[in-house]
Amino acid sequence: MNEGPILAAEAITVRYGSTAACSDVTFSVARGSVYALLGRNGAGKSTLVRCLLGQQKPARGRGLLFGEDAWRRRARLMDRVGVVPEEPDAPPAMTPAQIADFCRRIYSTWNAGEFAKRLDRFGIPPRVPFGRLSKGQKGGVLLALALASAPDLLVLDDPTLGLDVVARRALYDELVGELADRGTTVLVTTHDLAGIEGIATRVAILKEGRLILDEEMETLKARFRRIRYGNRMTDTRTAYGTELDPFDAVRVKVRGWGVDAVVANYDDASFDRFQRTDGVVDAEASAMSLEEIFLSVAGEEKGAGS
Amino acid sequence: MKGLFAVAWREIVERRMVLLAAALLGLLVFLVPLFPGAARYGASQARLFTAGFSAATFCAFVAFLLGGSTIGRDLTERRLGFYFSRPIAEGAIWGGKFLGIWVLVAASALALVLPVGLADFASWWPAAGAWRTAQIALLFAAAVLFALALGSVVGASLRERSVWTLADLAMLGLLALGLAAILFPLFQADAPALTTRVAGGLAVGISLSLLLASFAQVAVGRVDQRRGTRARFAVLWGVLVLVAVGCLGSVRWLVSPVPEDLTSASVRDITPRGNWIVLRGRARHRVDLTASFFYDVASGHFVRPPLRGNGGMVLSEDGSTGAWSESCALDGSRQCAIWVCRLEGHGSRPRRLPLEASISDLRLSQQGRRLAVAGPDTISVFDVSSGGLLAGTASESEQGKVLRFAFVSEDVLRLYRFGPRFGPPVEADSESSRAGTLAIEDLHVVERSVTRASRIEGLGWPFSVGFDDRHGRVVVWEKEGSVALFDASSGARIANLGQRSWDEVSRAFLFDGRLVLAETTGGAGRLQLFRQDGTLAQVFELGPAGFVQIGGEPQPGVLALSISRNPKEVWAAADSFLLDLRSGSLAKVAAHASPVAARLRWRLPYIEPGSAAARLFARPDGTLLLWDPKDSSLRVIPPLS
Repeated sequence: MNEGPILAAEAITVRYGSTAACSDVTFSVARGSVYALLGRNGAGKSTLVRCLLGQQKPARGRGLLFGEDAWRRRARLMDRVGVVPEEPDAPPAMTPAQIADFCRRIYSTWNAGEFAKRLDRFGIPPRVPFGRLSKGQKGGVLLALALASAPDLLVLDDPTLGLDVVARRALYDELVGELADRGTTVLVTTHDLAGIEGIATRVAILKEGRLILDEEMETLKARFRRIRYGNRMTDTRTAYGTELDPFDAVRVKVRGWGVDAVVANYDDASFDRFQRTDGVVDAEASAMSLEEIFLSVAGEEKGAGS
Repeated sequence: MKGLFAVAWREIVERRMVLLAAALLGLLVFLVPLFPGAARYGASQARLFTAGFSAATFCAFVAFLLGGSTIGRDLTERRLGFYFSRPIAEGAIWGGKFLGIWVLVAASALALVLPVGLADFASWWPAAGAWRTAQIALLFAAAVLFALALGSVVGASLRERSVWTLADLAMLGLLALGLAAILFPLFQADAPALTTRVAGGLAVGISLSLLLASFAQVAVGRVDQRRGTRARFAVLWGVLVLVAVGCLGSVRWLVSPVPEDLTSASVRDITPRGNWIVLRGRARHRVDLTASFFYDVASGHFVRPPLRGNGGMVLSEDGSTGAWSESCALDGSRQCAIWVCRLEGHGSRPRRLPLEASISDLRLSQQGRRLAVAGPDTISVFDVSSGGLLAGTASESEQGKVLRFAFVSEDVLRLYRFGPRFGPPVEADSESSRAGTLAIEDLHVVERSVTRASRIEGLGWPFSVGFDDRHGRVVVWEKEGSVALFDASSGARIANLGQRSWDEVSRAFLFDGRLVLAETTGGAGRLQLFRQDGTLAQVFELGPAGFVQIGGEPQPGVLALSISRNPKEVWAAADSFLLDLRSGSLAKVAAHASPVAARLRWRLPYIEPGSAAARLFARPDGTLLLWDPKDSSLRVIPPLS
């Protein structure tokens, strides 16, 4: 068994005319991990996923699946990959049962019982044409299809798009169950940061086609903190603005009550020293959610607010 | 393969309603005989025709429609990703979709025609048979594939709705021009079988390019619509350009044969002196295309008029100029343009005369300065250098219809009018059977006037005439057997040459004006030589013969003859001989061949001794032989394929 990354992007660049959808994107997804690829709309996530699945040829670079070129070996490699696309793309005239029958013929492994059980759990009628199902049901069918072939890699391209809370919850429950049962490697792109926060083991953020962050979830959450403090002038202090210098402040806002900053290299020792800084009063550091971190890193506002 | 069949099966299942509709239509066909007017064709014929017509139109329409929706729609509606997310090869995705629809359409056709086909089996199977049925089925299968590919590419292009669609339309315009450039020369060359083959090759090429383009869109583009469109465009037009260039080159080669390509040849005109001849024949690898050349038998040089439906090709007497008429109708049916070309040296660039006329025959003057053109109603003379009309006259008058015309000088065109006008045959023994006339007129080109030279009346109809333009005499040979020599200038009878059998005599003037009559009686041939005044000079016994034809003089004093043992096989069973008019010796020169001049006497004003016209022999298989007086050898010209 190849012990290298299950999935990797090697300097992938994709252009649509003069616009670069992805620029020199490099990352890898380790076996057994849940890799969350985040980014705003139009950041290039779906394009990148298509390149990684061998569905689209990048202008430069390549996607690697199980160590092999995804573009060249797509057909064979797909036998080990389950895909839930951003837009439900199954033939609309076919029922879930017919689609499953189609897939059964082409996958080397197919668990028809699991597929039927999942449809049942999702409450999806198997004899209704795919085109007539609700958005949530379509997503459920595609997830059930993706898992029925017992894939080594599950690629979910914004699977919760347009789903209500219940459907979203059901999807994540299914995902967690799959992870617990089989330890499947997962690449997921999503805007549902709260939903993925508890599942993802590693996070990457794409911004305007560039990978600006790629880190273990634990490390990421440990180094990002929101620091709030009052800033006072003292006899020995003659100027503001240098107290955050020990930190990598990614966002600073001056409020009426003091300063609200997000730092990207938090550690307790530095914070202790910061608290003792002349003029800094009532300093407190609070942990940040993935969404808050994402907003700080990929949001429109950046740098010092004032 | 499992991917291919899975995709194909999925397409069939998804579109199975088409099959149902076809089956329903197949049953409705049984109602056709109930329609008013259908009964006159017979119930069986009406059903069969309707079923066949419905199958063809229904399936062509469905194939085009499904072809247009199956790839193009999947791409634009982003549904192709479903397949590319599965372990299915690109070829299987594309091939499966095409295979599925192809099978569906074929099955629909079967569902449509099978009920009627079985019900009326006895009325069509004996006529069609297994082989014909298989041919139609194969043609239908190929046509469905073509419609599918066309629909796929057209559908993808129209759904694209971008600058690529405009580019496709622009290329389509260029393709239409290319197809016209490919097929037009073949249309003009009047070679329907060759045109059909080239068109078939083009159809295969176009089908191939459509299939490859459709495949490239899926295989190269996958879910990337832009990349797929670029691939489709590049492959479609790249292959089509290659096909068009290949066809254009092939057609250019096909319509540019050289004399050596001829597999058989016939001589259509020949200079009475010199070495130029007009060759026409089938060329190798060119099916039914007929090639024509002005060919110099001495040097092998040739001038090939473009194969634009060229009709008559003529040579001036001195061999300096060639002219030909060209079709101005697409199908080569009507000759209306005239080209001239200097043949001296290696030939000059052909020049189109600035005139348009409806042409049935052409004649060039001795030096090629004047051109006489026979139309349906007029005989006109044009100046070759300027193309200007110099003079003209009606081709049919009370004196009769002009059946032959020849320049007796650069400025005088001699017209031979045969009367009566052609009509129902007359009884040989009736009084009216002696109503035939031969009116000889001279059209004076400079004066633009017609003068009657002579009129020979009271000829038994029908009659045959031999011409000596050089000395102004004619020999007339009437149906009932009398042969007489006349002065063309005055119409005066010079001499009666006796009674001859219509079916057993041939005649010719020698270069010096002497007349030769050859006849066969009792299985033996005899040749009589008359002096210019019509008196008998000499008689030569030719031995066993069924029919004798008289050629030219390959050498002064030597006459070429063809002697056939079988009077019913005048040309095919003839051998050629040389008769020494001084010694009377007869020597076989070529087996299974006859002198070319014997066939062209009607056209030629005279034949100069030693000229190519006198030395050429033709075999029934189209081989031409040139006799060399130096060593009495024969060589094949041109070296035929």
